[in-house]
Parts: sequence; structure tokens; C-alpha cells
Amino acid sequence: MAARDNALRDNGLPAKENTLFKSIVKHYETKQYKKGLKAADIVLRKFPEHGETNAMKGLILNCMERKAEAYELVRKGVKMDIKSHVCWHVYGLLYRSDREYLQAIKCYRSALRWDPENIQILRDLSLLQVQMRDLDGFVQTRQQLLTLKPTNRNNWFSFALSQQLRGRYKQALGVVDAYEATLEGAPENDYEHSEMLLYKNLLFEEGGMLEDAVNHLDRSEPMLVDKLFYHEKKAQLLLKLGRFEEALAVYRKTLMKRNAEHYGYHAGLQAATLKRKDVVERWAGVDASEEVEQVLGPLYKELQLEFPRSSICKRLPLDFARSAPYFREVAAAYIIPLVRKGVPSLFADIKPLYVDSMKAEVLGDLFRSWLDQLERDGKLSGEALPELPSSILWVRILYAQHLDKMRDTEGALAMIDRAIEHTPTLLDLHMLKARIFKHAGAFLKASEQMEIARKMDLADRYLNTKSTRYLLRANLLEDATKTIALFTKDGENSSNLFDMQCMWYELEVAHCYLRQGDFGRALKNFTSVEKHFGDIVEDQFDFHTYCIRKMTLRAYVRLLQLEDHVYGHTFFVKAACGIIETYLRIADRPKSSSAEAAEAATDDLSAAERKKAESKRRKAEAKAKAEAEAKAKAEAAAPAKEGKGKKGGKEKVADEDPDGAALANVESPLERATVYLRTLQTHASNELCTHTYAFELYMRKRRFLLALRALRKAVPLSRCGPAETATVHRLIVRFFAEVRGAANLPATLLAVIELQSGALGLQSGCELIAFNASFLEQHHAQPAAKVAAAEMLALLAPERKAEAVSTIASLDPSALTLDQAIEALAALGRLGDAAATNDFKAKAHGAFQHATVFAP
Amino acid sequence: MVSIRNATVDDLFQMQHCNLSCLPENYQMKYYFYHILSWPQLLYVAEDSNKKIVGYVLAKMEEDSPEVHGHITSLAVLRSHRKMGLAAKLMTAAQDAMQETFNAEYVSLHVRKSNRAAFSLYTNTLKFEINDIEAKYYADSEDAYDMRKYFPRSKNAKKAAEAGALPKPPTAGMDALSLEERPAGADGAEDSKGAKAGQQEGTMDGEHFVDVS
Repeated sequence: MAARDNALRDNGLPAKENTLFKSIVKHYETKQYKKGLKAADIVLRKFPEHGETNAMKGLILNCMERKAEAYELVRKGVKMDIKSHVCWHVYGLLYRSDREYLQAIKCYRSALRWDPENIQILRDLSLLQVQMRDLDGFVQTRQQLLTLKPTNRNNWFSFALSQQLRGRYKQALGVVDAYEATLEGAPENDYEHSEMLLYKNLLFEEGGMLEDAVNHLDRSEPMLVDKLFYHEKKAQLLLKLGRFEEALAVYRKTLMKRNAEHYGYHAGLQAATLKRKDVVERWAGVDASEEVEQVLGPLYKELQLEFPRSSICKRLPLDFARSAPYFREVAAAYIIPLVRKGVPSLFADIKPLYVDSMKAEVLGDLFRSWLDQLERDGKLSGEALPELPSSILWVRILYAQHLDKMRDTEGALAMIDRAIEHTPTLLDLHMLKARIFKHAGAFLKASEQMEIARKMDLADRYLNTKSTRYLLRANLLEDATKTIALFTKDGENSSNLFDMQCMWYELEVAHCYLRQGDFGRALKNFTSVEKHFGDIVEDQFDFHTYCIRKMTLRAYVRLLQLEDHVYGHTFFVKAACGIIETYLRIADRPKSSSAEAAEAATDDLSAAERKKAESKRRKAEAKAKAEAEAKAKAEAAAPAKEGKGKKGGKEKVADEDPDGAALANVESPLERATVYLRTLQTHASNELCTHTYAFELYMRKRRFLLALRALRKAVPLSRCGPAETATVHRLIVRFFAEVRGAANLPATLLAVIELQSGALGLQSGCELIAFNASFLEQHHAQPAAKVAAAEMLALLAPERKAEAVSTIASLDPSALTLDQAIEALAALGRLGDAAATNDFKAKAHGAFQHATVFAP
Repeated sequence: MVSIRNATVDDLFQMQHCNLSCLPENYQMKYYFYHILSWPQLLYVAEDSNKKIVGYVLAKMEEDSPEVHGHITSLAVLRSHRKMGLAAKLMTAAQDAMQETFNAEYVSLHVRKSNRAAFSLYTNTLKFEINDIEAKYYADSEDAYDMRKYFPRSKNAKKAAEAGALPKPPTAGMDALSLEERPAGADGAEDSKGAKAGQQEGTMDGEHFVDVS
């Protein structure tokens, strides 16, 4: 393909060799690499300085896993014939095969200098441009391709798409219009034609031309094969335009009839009924006004009659209910039939209602009264017939979960035990009991219960997954590995889990290693997740051409949007935070500690063994260092994306660093962490953890302005909850304590910092102790704030440590959540008061009997 | 309490997670991409009140076959969300789309011989029939039932008469995607079945996990 169009330019070979050269290209394209190599060698014997042949030989060697030679030959080829577009194209292909797209783009551009209208090269260039989101370049290249070859439909839609991605909807529509004008007769393919029309409709909508969008949708209707989407989109557009009556009709008469179990339809129907353009998918009691209850209440009465089998029609009133009597009525009407049926997910379904304390209270009251009635006379009051025995079981299950949610662990356990007594064969009960223990901080007991459940149905992978997760939380890594292996194809070898991108598992395993201080293995698992994301970004490549041909442009645009934000996905954020946390701990480790630890470990060994171990350790260290250096080098050369080595990967390359030793043993852990931090700052700036880690990193690097910037980003996020508020307060105090206490900071720097202090809530020149005290005063009802303020007091005024300790120690654990109690204990530990720590631990043990952290 | 809706690209991570949590046949993300970018109408999810995906159906069209038909690649419902008929609802939604959008004549699927719960859902609730038995279909060499359900012809026939001829299926192939990358679920055993893309895809089917209500 590279050289197919080279007829334009004489490649300098005589006829015979030229034929051979063409055969090289052909062999390359048909993947007959050995033959291609042979032909290349024949040409090179006679013309060793022929650039294009050298380049082609290199390209073929690249496919035969001889990378180093490949680069050498291709570079040689380019040097010999620097004006050859073939050589440059080949060079670009080589880089592309290594996912070094920026380099590849440069090469393609050089190739185009010598052959500006080469369609193949332009096409290859455009793929890289969209992959790298060089949108301006993409528009240009696609325009050129369309001009060169307007007979190809793909060129029209690629160009339209490029305009859309730049936000030029009118231009994109113009392109589609022009293409449509060329169409004659009935479409060749109904589906593709329909998708094309819907793509055009998307352009109207995204361009804010809503009227046009509705009109176009209606005009296109006879040609659309995706009828469901037609109705959905029409209803949405009408709603956005404020044409509520019409929208209402589509929702009620068409969409609901097709599928009454669709939150989106209900949300649209409600908005149209309430005559408001903003669609609320799920009301929480707080944002539903009285009017909402009054209008929607009767609507749902009607809907329940019209769709008697729909459970959503019965469920949604629980969301928008505001008054206790109405809530009580709709809750009972919804829950009782599901209790009779025995639906295991019932509590999970109503749990979101607990944000409203009125609702939590009513629900608890309902469960208790049903339980009383059933225990007393086997039926619910007002009912003529007695209930089946299973009803009481499911009420107990609900009530147990309610008590657990209200943090009454003992009550919940007692209730679930009665249920188990009633029906010992129902494995769901053990899963529930496991969850109650988990919430109580008893990871081992939780895991034991989950194992009981798992063993009751060994064929169910869901139970296996749950049990694996619980084992990991209990730090039982070996058992976890064995358990999950029961469902993977290659047994205990984890490569199947890696190949299938089983990220929840990798994250849990990584955290388990991190808790155990095995930094290498923790990093190993965290970076596996990172590799998956590299692959997922790479995955889009093939779809750039595929979707244009298939005409599935709507879905394709969504894919591009997903990829733009993929590093903000919670799995990646967790992995990146894990990596940063690990590197911080590595950096914070006292310098000599690794040597000390090794010494401690070798204490029981003989002198000879010790010597052996020492030399082994040194070798491993040297190797790890070399690897790290090599890796750093490779990364420096390829700033694009990580995650090579998977391509074409039939044979698995042996993992050179199975335990992550090289990952953990890096020259500057803080620099490594910073790489991940930057990704988080770009893609996860709305996560508090991004900015707290930014703060921690920059403080250690003494980059105070960057730390300050992190604080400014953290402040708005600190309002999410009391724990976040306390976290950010600590950071602010630590920051100013450090900066104000530091010697030799440039005066200008200090001035800039003080100038910004107001934005952090600290008046310029305000004493930190006073600031800390006023924070405490403002948040005195919050235990997390109390702990934070006390700990900061000890930092600011070491002489008042006793006061800080006693503030924390005087907290009543039974008034705290488990997390708050754990945090308080940790703070006491950090303050170094062993007696107070032990006292608090004992007190907390009384309040959280099952929690492992407080166990004596 | 659980919403049944067409899946979007943003649901795919959760679908993969749901699949990994409860089925033994798993796929790389690219395979999910492939489905949604080829037949976006045929993927459905069950979403609970916490916006968590608790079930999905992943389906496709077999376009190179003489009879246009749909195929269920994978269907899953979390054990925690049984007894609500979600599997049947997901299946019905995908089947409707196969008929309405793609004019499918029938839908096919594979199910493990030992999976009695799923078999009963397909046979009793959804009216599938056994078309064939595929020996050693799964990686662990269990046999599969090859099941089919024919759709009522009336709708298609009418539309075809209007159009004057049977509509052609979409033609664009899958050749842009390298084959080695695709069968995420394919292990050695499945690769060795070799053959064409279409057949190989068949072996990528998941199991069908279903509740018996």
C-alpha cells in the first residue's frame, strides 16, 4: 500500500528490479514476509543504496518482530532517499505500529511534501489526526480528501464529522446536504440511510437548531428504521422546545405503551406534565415541591391503573412524595406486594430514600408494625387472608437491612439470625449477614459469611465474585486468588483476569498489597488498570474507518466523547490515586529503611545465607534500576500513550517484572507520581482526591505555588461533606504553617501566597491558631472537624498537645460513625499518646464490638 | 424499580463489569465497542434506582447469512436482582429492535446444556426452540443448544411488499478490525475452531444467566 502510487515518481530502479520492488510491496500487504524479505535482498544485492527498498525491508522486519533492525533500515532508507514519499510513509507506518502517533504524523507530513495528493497517505494521516484529536488538521486533511475523491461516500461523512468535532454544525450540515443532493432513487441500504438521517438530526440538535431538528425528524420518519429512537428523540426535542402538550402525547401514548419500565420516559412525562423543561430523573424528597406531589400524585394513580404490571409506576411516587401520610400510603402499596413475592433487591431499591429522614422513619415504622402484626396473628392488619410464611421472612430481611442502615448492628444481626433460623437454605441471608458485618468493620466475619453463601451455590460466579472481594478486604489474598481462579480459564494464573480487563479485582488486590506494605505488587496491579485504559484508548483506532462505512455515526461520536474523558473513569482515578499513594509512601520511607528491613529479615540467617541474600538483593536492585532507567528512556522517547506490547500479541512475552520490584524501585518516586497526577488534573479535576494528592506531592517537592493552586481547587470541593471539609482544613493549616515557618523563601513568593490566603478563608496576617479555633467554632457539631482542629492545634502549638489529645479522647465513640471513630483513633496515634490511644480504642471497642480495628 | 433501556456507549464499562461479576465468558472492551458501533439498537441494560447496571443484553445481527437474523451474544442479570423478570424484559426489548430496525426473520442463541434455568426461560417464557446441538461448544468442552425463535412474518412481509423487495442488510463488513483482537473471549480451544470470522464470533457467546421466577 505504501508504494502503490509511486508510479508518479521514478524510483530509480531498472525494469527488472522495479518489478521485484513491486512484489515486495505486494508481499508486505499479503503478509508474506519471508518472500518479501527475499525479494528485497535480491534488489539490495544490486542496489544496496536504494532507499525505498531499504525502507520496505525494514517495514517487513518490523512485522517479524525485529524492531531494532527495522528502525535502522527505515532510517537508512529515508537518509538515502530523503525526497521519497515512500520512505517517509514507511517511516510513519513504523511509528504508527508502535503507537507513536505524533512521530508518525510528522513522517506522513514529510511524505506529503513530496507527494501532496497521495490519497493513501492522506487517509493514514487523517486517522492519526482524529486519534490524537488534532481536529484542525483533521478537518484540513478530510477536506482535501473530499476534494480529491468526491465519489466516495466515506469522504463526505468523514468531512462532515470533522466539522462537527470542531463544533461547526452548520458547515457539517452543509456537507450532508450536498451529499444528499447527489442521491438518486431509493436508498441502497435502509439501515444505513436511516442512520445517516439520524446523524443529520443529531447535527441539528447539537447545533442548537431544535425547531429544525423536530421538523427534519418528522420529514424523515418514513425512512427511519429505528422507530423507537424516532419517538424518543421527538419527545425529548418537543420538551426542550417547551411544546409540553405534544411531548406529553408522545410520552404517554407511544413511549409508555412500548415500555413503561423506563426512567427516562417517566422523567419526560413528569416534566411535560409539570410544564418544565428541566428533566428530573429521580426526585429526592428535598427537591420535590408540594406542587410536584399534588400534580404527580394523581397522574401516577392513573398510570398505575393503565399499566398495572409496571413496578416503576408504583415506585416513583416514593421519590416525589413530600408529606409523611402520602409517603406512608405509597410506600406500603409498593412494598407489600414485593414482600409477598420475595424480591431480594427490594432494600437496595428503596435505600436512596434514606437521605430523607422523614422517609427513613416512616419506613422503619412500617417494617416494625408489619413484623408485629405478622408475629401476632400471621396477617397484616386490614387484610382478610393470612400471609404465606415467606412474608414474615422477607419483612425480617427488610427490617434487618433497615436497622443496619440506621447503624444498629446488633439489632440487624439479631433480625437476620432469626431469618436464618426460619429458612436456613436461603443463601441471600448469609450475604446480608456478611454485609452487616462489613458495615460494622468486621471484615473477617463478613468474609466467613460470604463464604457460606458461596458454598451454597458453587456454580454461581456472582457469589464467587462477592466472596473474592470480601476475602481481599479481609487481607486473605491467597484464599482470594484461589477462589476467583475457580472461574477463570487458566486457573490460578491471573493472565485471564488481566486479558479480560477485570479491573475491580486488580484494584482490590492492589489495595490489599498496599495495606500489607508490598509496594511493588501494589504498583504492579494498579498499573495493570492503567494498561487497560491505554488499550481502551487504542481500541478506537479501528473504528475511525469502520463506523464511517457502517454509517453508525451517532454511536461513533459518543465513543469519541467517551474516549476524551476516559481517564476520568472511576477505575482509572482509583488506580492513579493508588499509584500516587504508593509512591508517596515509598518517598516518605526513611532513607535507610529498606536496608534496615532487609537486615531485620535476615537476622535469623547464617552468615553465609546472609551474604547470599545480600548479593541477591544487590543484583535485584541493580536490575530494577536498569529496567526503570530503560523504561524512563522509552517513555521520554514516546510521550504518547502507555500500554505497548499487546499488539499482535499472540505469544505472550514473559513478564520481566512480575512482582513490580522495578516499579517500586525508582530513582524518584515523586516524579513518577507526578505523571499520574497530571492525568488526574486534566481528567478528574472534580475529584477532591486529585487536589489532595497534588497538595501532598507539591509540598514534598516544595513547589508552594503549585500546592496553593491545589488548595484553591480543593476548597469548593470541601463542601461535599463534613469529612471533606475537615480534610481541606488540615491542608490549609499545614500549608501556611509550613510556608510561614520556612526560612529563606523569597519575599515575593510569600507576598503572592499571602495575597491568595483570603480565597482560602484565611485573612491575610491572621494567626493560624485563631483561624483553627474559628474553624472549630464554626463546625463544632462535626466530629471530623473536631478531630482535625485538635490535630492541627498540636501541630501549630506543640505545647498544647495535651489539650488536643483530650479533645479527641473525649469524643463519645457511640455518637460517631465507624469511619469517624477510626479517624479519631488514627489521630490519637499520630499525636503519639499511647495511653489516650489505648483508652479510646477500648471505648470504641465497646461501641463497635465487631470492628477489627478496635479489637483488643 | 429497574429501568429497561437502550444502552449507550457510557454504559459499556458497567456492562463489562456486570459480565465479569456473574458470567464465565468474558470479553475485552473492544468487543463491546464492536457491538454498539455496529448495532446500537440491540444493546439493552437494566438500571436500578442507584443508576447501577444490574443486567444487560448484548446482541448482534448475522449479516452474511441467507436469512437475516439476530443473535444474542450475551445476557446477564446479577443474582441480587432476580425475581423481577429482568432477563425476559431485556430479551424482549432486543428482539423487538431486531424485527423493527433490522427486519430479522429470527433470533438465535447458544446456551449451555447444563444451564437449566436459562434453558427454561428461553423455552417456556420466550418460546425458543432447539435448532441443533453444538458439541463441545464452550471452552470447557460443554455442549451448547443452538436455539432459535422465528418472528411472526406479517410485519416483515408487509413492509417488504411495500418496498417491492426484501430490504438488504447493511453491507459494510468488519474487516477493518483485526481479527486477532476481536474474540476477546476466544481462548486456544476456540481459536482452533478457526474458520471464518462469522463462525468464530459465534464461539464468543457468553452463557446466559437467567433467573427463574
